[in-house]
Amino acid sequence: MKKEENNLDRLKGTNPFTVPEGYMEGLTERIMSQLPEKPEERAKSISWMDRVRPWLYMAAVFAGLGLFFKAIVGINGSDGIASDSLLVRMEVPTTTLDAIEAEEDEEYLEYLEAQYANYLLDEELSYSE
Amino acid sequence: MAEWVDALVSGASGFAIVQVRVLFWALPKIERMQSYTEDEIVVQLRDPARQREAFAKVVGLYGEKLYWHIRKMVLDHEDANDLLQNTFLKAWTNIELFRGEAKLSTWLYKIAINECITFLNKQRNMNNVSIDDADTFLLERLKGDEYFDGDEVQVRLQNAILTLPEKQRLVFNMKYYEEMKYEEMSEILGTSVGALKASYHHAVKKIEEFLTKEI
Repeated sequence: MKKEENNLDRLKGTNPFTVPEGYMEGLTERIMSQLPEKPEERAKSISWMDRVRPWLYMAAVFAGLGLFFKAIVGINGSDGIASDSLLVRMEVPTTTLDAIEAEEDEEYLEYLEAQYANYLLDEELSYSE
Repeated sequence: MAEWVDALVSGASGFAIVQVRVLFWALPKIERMQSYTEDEIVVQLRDPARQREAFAKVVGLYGEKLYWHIRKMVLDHEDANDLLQNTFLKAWTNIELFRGEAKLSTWLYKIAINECITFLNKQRNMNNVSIDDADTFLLERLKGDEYFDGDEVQVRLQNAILTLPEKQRLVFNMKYYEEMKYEEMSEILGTSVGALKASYHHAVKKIEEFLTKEI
């Protein structure tokens, strides 16, 4: 056993492995020549569209919400009256209203004329004198 | 004559003292310089403009050391050369993953060992050898390798080393051939110092037994 220990000790430091001549001298250069070039990472350019895109999305969302509410409110508004049986629809033709208004105006003018006829006549007479 | 001898002796002793002083003064500085160099290289590696230049320094620093480590595992020069190239290729392509938490050499050793293990597994598959069997097929390659000029004793020693399990072989090579510190081996292999010491001790014992049987 001791003999073999000595054998291991004796062999320590000896190198039976060899390399081709000049192998170690050109090692770095050889390894580096076989390494690929790393692609340069270019700074990512931010286009005008990239900047505006979030705002466009937000505007689209608001527009969509607006249309949605308008559609909902519109449907409810038209269906509300029809569905409520207690409500009475009061509609008077506009022509009738105009006729009433015209008739009222005529009566009012006749009344005014009757009231102020004497006053106006006196005034006219005083001027002529 | 006696005066001449005295002068020579005092001169020689004075020179020896100066040499020893210079050595004690220079050693810490050299150590500091080496560690600073590695730190400097790590900083340069993070700079894309200087990365390639810094990596060439890494290859220069550790290329030869790693070659011998790989060579002792696979024995054949051509295989060792290919594996060394692959090791640095992997290190280069994954250099961004190196965060500097461990030493650069530790990281490179880990890559090299992985390359060796992958290569040996492939060779075992090709030669229909079980993972538990000795990698004696490598011995045939070694005998045919023109870059091995060992005598009969050296061949027997290599044969004995090949009978060791893979990890024990790694431990034996790192300690016996590379004289690596157990602490450094522990970082590379992820095994405790105590376990490594025990592993080396067992490896030495097995090799001695093998050599005794062979005789």
